[in-house]
Amino acid sequence: MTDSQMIREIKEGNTELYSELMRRYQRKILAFVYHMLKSAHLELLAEDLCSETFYKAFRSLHSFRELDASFSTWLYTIARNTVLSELRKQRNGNVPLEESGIIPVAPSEVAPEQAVLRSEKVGMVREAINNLPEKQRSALILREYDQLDYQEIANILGQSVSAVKSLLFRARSSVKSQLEPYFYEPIYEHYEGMKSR
Amino acid sequence: MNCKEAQELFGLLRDLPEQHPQRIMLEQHLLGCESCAGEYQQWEECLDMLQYIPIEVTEEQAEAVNRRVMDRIYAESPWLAPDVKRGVTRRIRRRVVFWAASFLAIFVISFGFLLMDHFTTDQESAEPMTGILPTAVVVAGSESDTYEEFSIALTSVSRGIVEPFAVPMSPAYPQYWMYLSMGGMLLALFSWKGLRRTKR
Repeated sequence: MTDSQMIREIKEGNTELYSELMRRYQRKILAFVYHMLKSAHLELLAEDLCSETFYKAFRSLHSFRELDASFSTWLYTIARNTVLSELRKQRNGNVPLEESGIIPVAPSEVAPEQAVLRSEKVGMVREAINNLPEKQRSALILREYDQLDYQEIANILGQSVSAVKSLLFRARSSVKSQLEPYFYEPIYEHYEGMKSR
Repeated sequence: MNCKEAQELFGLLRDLPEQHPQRIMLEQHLLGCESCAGEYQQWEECLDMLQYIPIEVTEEQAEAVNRRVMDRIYAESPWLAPDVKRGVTRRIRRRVVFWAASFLAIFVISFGFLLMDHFTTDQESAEPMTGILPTAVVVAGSESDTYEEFSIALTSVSRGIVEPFAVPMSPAYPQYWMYLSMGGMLLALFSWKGLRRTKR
């Protein structure tokens, strides 16, 4: 059964089918919300905000028109707005953005030094993403982690495709410039090697 | 492609398909320009680092979200809950069955009446009447052939007094009941179809 068939059935009163429809996107949306919140160290709210997103989507299902966007794009848009609204609320309430202390678990076969190195890298990347302006951050997350194409990202952000390309380029440039010190040495060595040749 | 154009593409190279002309041109440029190749290597490492933060969303977490949303929907709109809906559906279904049975009974009875009416009355009286009657001429004790066709012979009636005529109209009452019951049964069938769809 396609999304549009399911949505039609749900609108006709088969509410139970909404659970099935959610199952198709819940992981993706939860991951997106998690990424968006992680950069602000608020990932503990991810499940709540994901639930809020799906609940809002259900309540507004009557206004959803497939001609305007696909259901997934529509969900991402709601998720992004929900997260932004929460981030704004947190900022206004001056709630300190505490470190969650959750470090991704390294595979057991990885040596402790490598695990430390990895966690250090993860922290740096997170920080770099966190420092991006909101639109660049959303575009980068949607592209890198959710693998959406330019058109879908453009629909979610309410921008043109060329604007999305520009956002992505600036986001990646900014991340690169922030991470540059981390791999300065190998590059330096690389140029040194070139000079000596 | 010069170095400036190449560097403008570094950030988007990953998004370009394998056979994209810009990608091919850039790859050719990187083969001949060591400076850009070094720069691009930096980009690659940086973009690879973005993949260091995979988010592992477990099935349990996703299911928890699902359950929470459905619980909230049913809590705020109890009539949408499957148990309640099933109870309501059963009640409505019973009513629909009752109405359909009643209308069927009316149909059968009125059909019976119609048949009885048909067989008990003779052909002449069963002819449909328009309600327009030829002028009645009352001729007391008359044997005249001139008015035979359009006259009603009343043998023992005083001149000038005419009894009111009872004109049977068509269709008769049983037929009206039949139409009504057929309409009722159709409505019941439509309601039944709607219920089946809701159940699905």
